[in-house]
Amino acid sequence: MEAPEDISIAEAGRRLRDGSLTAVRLARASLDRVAALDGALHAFVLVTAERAMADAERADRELAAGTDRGPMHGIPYALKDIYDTAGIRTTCHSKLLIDNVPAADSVVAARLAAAGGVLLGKLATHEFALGGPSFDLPFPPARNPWDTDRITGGSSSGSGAAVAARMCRTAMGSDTGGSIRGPAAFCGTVGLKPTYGLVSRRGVFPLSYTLDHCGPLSVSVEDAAITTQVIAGFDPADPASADRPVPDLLSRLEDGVAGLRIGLPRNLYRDAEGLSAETAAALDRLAEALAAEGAVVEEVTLPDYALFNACGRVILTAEAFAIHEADLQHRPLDYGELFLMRLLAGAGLTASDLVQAQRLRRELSVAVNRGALRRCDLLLTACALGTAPPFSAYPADRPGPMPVQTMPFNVTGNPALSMPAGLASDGMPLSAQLVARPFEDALLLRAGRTVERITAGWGHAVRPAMAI
Amino acid sequence: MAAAMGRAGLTIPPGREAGLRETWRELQGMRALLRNGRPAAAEPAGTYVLDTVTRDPA
Repeated sequence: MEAPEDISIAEAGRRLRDGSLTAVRLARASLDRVAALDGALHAFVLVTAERAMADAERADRELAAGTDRGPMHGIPYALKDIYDTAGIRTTCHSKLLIDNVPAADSVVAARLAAAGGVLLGKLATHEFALGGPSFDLPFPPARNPWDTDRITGGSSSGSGAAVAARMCRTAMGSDTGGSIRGPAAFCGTVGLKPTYGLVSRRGVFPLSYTLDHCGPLSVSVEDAAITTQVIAGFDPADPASADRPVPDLLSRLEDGVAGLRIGLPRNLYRDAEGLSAETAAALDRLAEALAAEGAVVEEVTLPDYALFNACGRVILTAEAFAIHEADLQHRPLDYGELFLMRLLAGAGLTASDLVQAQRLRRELSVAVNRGALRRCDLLLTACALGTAPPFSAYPADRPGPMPVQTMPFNVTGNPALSMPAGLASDGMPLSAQLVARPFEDALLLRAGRTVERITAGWGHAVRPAMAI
Repeated sequence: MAAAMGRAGLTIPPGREAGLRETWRELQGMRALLRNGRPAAAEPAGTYVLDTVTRDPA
């Protein structure tokens, strides 16, 4: 019989409704996996077992009584510990908020609860979603289920570990410079950064107002689409929320890529420090496979990655510095070392730096959206440049490398999707990144589903060592 | 670095100067990349509204 963690969200929904599965059984299976695996993975900073069982029992009662809240009804999920949860501790993985118990849910938490989801708990993150991996915080860093000596990437580190280890099919992350897509890439899961403005950020602790995005890490593209369909929507209390209809993310998932034009911006990653030959080969192989599916794949040129990175880093640092200014002045030693040094460097930025970064941001957005994505429907580019590095590559007293190329689409706000793309010779997942025009998240997921189908035999579909 | 930190009301915690100096240098190195000789009229309109950011350049 199929293990509960192998049942997709859509299939679980069918079985919950025909009576062959219960939400209680799904929740118990998830909690059992957390109990068995999390001692080694540290994906969770808080397991809400009582809440999960209560959610699951309610879902079973409601479905039996004919009350159907939709595709997340009775489905287990978990939240990165920067999402406010009413009455449940939300720490941002930091000593500063170790006793913080919000009075209200974040919008995403509220939407998932209203949709009948089953909350398993709160997930590890880098402190306030920046820096890491760190060993001087209240909780240990999450470890990669494929190899626990390796990082998960960050900052949605627990989300990547939990989904890869099949503790849940979907978990919420946040992405300011790649914090959904990086862990997804290193852990071999799907990771969606939706279009800026599609998902409300209200009640999620901000890192950088104009770069923050909320989105899921999920086992499959369909799981990610179902999750995003539930959490997306206009929120008048989020200043960046887009007042437009939520696209239908599911009905055309299987429509393929025939006739679509896909740009391959090799100039962005070809000469990047840390690009592995296996990553480059996987991208070439994927481009050929997409062409064989009927897409028109052609090389395009984007501005240099260094420009996107500088623009994003300066804006991120300036905005995060403003958010944390008072605590940096009055209680700096309550921060972990890596977060502190990343933010203190913000004192060296000038007002002119921030304005110049914003001017550059507009130029880069125009180059992506009125250049490459005017001609092409999608972009295919690198996500992680190689496989997950070992913890030993990260000294405790200074930031180490985070070999991903995700920042460009935080700067521009385009939707971007990290997809597994086979296994490297070290047995770790490789990845690729798809990018679409703003608010064409449905097309992005449709292309992702095609990638998922054509790469199904490339090796990453095997279970990671810690998830067997 | 010390002067800028002082202006911002910050103190460097003991033992953390070396790591901070490294991140400081990295961020300072990015500042030059932001400046590309664009004309004065190239304004950053609509930073917070994607539809505006991505509108056709005039």
